[in-house]
Amino acid sequence: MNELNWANDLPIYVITALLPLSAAMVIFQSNPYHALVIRGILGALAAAVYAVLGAADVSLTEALMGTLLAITLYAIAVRSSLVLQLGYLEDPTIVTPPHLLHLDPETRAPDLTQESANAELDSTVVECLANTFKPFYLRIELVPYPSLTALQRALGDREVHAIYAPKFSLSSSPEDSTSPQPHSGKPQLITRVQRLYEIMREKPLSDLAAITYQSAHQSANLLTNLSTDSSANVTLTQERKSS
Amino acid sequence: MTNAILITAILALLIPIYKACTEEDIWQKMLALSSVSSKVSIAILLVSVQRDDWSIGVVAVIVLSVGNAGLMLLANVLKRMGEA
Repeated sequence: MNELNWANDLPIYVITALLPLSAAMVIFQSNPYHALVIRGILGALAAAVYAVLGAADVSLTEALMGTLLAITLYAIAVRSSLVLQLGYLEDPTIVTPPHLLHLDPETRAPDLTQESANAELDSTVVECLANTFKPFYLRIELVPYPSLTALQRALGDREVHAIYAPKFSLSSSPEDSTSPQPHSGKPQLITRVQRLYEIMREKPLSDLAAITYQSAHQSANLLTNLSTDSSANVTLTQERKSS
Repeated sequence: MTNAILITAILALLIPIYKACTEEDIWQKMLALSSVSSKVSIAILLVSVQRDDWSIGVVAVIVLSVGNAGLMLLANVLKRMGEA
């Protein structure tokens, strides 16, 4: 009698054994999108287990809520959260604000054509950025800004994670000889997130652009200084050193 | 007899599960998901016929139809991510 039952219940045992198998597959996925798809498989198998065990209502709920709704919502959530927003100057021919020009000793007599070319968003830098963040499953989203001040404010207000700034927007004080001078004609990538800075500092990207870390409140302070005191000379790299 | 068919169906289920585990392409994984979803719903239908339980049959039909709709929804989200 017992043996007969065991033979009858065999499909239940087999189908139940698939459940931990697919659960383990979800756990060992590193890519969040792949994990979501495997979660769909897990949901289908779970619905089958519940149905075979006789719980039709639980099975229906698992299929509709647990699988369909959860996966769709998670896909949207992952898509909108795994993104690096990069602010850049919309119009590369923008004229440098006079107080910024006054700040930088090198650009006191500005060569506007050179600066305009420098302000333009370099596609190779963006491509390199996208490749750098590919192993972390981060997308790059470009956010245009009309002026340098708006760009700085966006970083200070935490609207963007990083900004692509032309050379003249950052000025190093000539007195501070110990601070590194990372921008020798290279465009600047300024980020307010410490972890992003650590990732961007790596080799291929740091060759193309000068990477700078600047926390959000430092950025806000810099903006206040720039708007109130035109002679204020704030070194971003110096602030990075202190943090 | 039905038990043997059911066990065969479950063993056939292992093929797309294995492919979903090994493939790196997201669309291949989606294919595996759709395969598993369809197979599972057919297996549930089989169980419902075997037990003469209508409620389980309704679940199987809903999983079969809505599961594919969900797959389309997920595919659209993934496709837009690829374009962005």
